[in-house]
Amino acid sequence: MKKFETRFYGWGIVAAFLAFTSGIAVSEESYTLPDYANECASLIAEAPVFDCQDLDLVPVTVDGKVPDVYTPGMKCDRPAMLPYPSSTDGQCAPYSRMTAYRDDDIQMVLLCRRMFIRPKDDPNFDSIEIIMHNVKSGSTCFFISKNFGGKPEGDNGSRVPPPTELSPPKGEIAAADLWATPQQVVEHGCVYCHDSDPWMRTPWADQNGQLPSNPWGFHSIDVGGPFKTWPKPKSITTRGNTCTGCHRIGSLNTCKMMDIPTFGEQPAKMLQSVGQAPHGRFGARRGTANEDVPDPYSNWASIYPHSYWMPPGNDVPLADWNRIYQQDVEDLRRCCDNPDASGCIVSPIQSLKDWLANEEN
Amino acid sequence: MKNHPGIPYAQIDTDTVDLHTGMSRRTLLSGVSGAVIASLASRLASGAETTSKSALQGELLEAANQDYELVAQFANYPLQLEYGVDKDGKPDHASPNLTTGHFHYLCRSWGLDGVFDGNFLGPVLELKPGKPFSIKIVNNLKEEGIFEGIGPEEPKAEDWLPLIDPDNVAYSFLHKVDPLGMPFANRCKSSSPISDIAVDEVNVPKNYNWTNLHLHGLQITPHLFEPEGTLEKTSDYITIKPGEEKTYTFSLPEDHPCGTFWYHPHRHNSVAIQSWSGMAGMVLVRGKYDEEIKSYGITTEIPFAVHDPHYTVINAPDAGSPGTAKVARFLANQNGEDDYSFLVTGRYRPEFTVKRNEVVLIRHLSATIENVNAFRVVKSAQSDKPVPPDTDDDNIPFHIIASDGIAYDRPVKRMSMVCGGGERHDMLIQFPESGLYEVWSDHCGTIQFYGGGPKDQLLATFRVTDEAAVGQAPISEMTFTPGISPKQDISQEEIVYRRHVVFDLSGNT
Repeated sequence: MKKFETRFYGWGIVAAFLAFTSGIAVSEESYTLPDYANECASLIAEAPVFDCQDLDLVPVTVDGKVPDVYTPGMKCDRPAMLPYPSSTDGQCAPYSRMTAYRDDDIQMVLLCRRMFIRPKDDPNFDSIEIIMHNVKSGSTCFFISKNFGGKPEGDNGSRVPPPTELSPPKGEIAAADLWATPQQVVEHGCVYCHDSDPWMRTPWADQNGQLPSNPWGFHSIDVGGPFKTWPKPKSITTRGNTCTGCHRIGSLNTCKMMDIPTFGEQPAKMLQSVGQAPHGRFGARRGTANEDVPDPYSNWASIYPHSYWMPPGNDVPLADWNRIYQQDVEDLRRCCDNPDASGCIVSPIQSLKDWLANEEN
Repeated sequence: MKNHPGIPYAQIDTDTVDLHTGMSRRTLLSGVSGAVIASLASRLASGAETTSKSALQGELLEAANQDYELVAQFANYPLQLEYGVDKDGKPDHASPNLTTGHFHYLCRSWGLDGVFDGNFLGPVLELKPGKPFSIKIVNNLKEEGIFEGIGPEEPKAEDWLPLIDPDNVAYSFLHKVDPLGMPFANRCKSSSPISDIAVDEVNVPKNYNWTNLHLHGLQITPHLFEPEGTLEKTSDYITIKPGEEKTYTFSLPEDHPCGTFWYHPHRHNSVAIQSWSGMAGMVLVRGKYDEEIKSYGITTEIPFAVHDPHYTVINAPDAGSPGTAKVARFLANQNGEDDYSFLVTGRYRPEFTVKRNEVVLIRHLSATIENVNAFRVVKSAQSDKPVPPDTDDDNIPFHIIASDGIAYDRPVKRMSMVCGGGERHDMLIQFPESGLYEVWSDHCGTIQFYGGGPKDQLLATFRVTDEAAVGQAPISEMTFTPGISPKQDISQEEIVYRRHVVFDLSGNT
């Protein structure tokens, strides 16, 4: 991990330099990966070269124990909470890896997913992702590999090129070959779920302690090209709401079931987090929202309090949970369905720049 | 000072004799022999009507004189209280077996103009936007007669050692790494020398007879520190010692929100002891909001102040004679050495009588010192030992029209709520059927610090008559002028002072 620390130190300087030197005015039609990568580097930071095997393991446990054997379609305590293609080995495939880096300005998560069961030290991964966020300005960018579990052999993650890299060292995978184009990223619809803030605190993502936190900070997808088609999430709350005492509730997929381009209809993340999503607590793929999809949850995970993961560390009796939180959940549901309903408070989730502009107005 | 618009919490007849003592509370307080007072304990047990209808009927809203005098004085209130008993029925604060009984509660209290009404909470103060007002505090907290040496005993530094000793089994859970990673990290032992302990002199409990006044939630001049209005962080608290008095003068802005606020002492060291005594009360800022409420035909207003006095049972009730209880030692509750009850408007399980279909305004104040509390209403099962229903499925809905003194534009429907100390909610409730209804605070037993919380308790009952109310607008059609615009943020220009505050649960700061 050390080699990354030196690379990440001084992100602000890198970002400032790139902001000064990069040309960003690009039409939507010609908005390429380098355009997107450079814009994100200018707004946030340049992603590093990294080896997926250097990242920290995301544990997989079944009923509290690391299993001796992993099997396709197995159940586990903390599934990945992202609908993997049905051809994969499922959301409990082991040896995904994730590490976060951060300083006073920047938060960045590097993530290499395993959707197929392979040996721990196998260099190949089935989805490689970067989320980067500028805490000061609110800018947020998402990068994801072209492959999202679509090929059983995966991608070699030994040298993951930064999205800004124009030509790789000889024999290494090129950024343009690994990373999805801006249009492809847009079709994944990242912002629909990452609407409250950049970070989704699912049990899967949260279990190795790497996930950054910025629940009240600025958050904005303010790059160009096709990203302009993404909706701008808003914050939904009611006065004195216990849930939003700790974090925002975004108005998109956190709030309500939505049809997301790559994944189909997805239940409200807010309800998933409290075991109350109507169809599958983890989401179904397109066309299956009304079907009984295979449940990836272990017995341990299916029983309260483990089936509710909000608030973090929750272990109060269900009746007590209901007393303090359920009315607040109901209030949020009501406001998500109708933001104009009585008592609903709707405010923009925005960048520092937009906030300042609104203040002046 | 006498022509004030203050109203008591409830309409209580004070002309009957206390059958247990033959003495009146006013007698005890004033020293005038032969006077009589209500048998409050027996009245409360019998479920006397306590609904207040006076506040919304017009004349009080026009009151111009807003000068109050609150006298702090020792008091001896007849109260019904819950307390733990062992298998032989003897008081045992550690026992989960609870019973109720009538007590003389020895405490500190507020009296309006020196007159102590039948409620041991302070009187309701009514204010109007755009009007100046004054509150004179007279401190008569002199430990004399039966109150001499009442204390409670001030804790010493070594009293805290068992609480922070990681070897103390009762509190060992505080030192384990909990799911949120917030263990107490100190390593003091019960045998640690006192010289090792840094005593927070500003905040440790002491000087229980020193007091001052805080008007909670009002947009007025800061008034906790000397001199009034100062923002200097090293200033001392305003202190009114026994025998002293102080007159606070304020003016509410013309655009001050109308609604429910409250007052209590805020002299650090003695706040908890005095507030457990009942030195707290409701403030109603009245104006356009009240006129809007009246315009919908609502005439019944119920101050519903939830309060959680902690006390030590000195003598249990015996053979029809009331027992004696006094305010608990400050650390007692943390050591599980005391008893407590939730009281509403200063009484144990009061009953309110309303008409069927009547839209009633409840002024809910969470005046608790120690505990969160819930609010939900269910049809009574008419059991001798009432228990809260398992689910919220059959709760009677209520509609909040203002929170913390700020009105919503439309009523917000809720089926239950949980309040922390200091919260205020004005709510409308309507009972479609006659009968008895119960208000519960329940299932909060694990939701406070480190998995603790208050017991379940029946707070109050509503008796709904067969007579139906008429002439009231449907709640769903009511609208109100918002107390504050949702977009009315604090501007940079309005920020005149900044402080950096660090909250810490490690026990290291």
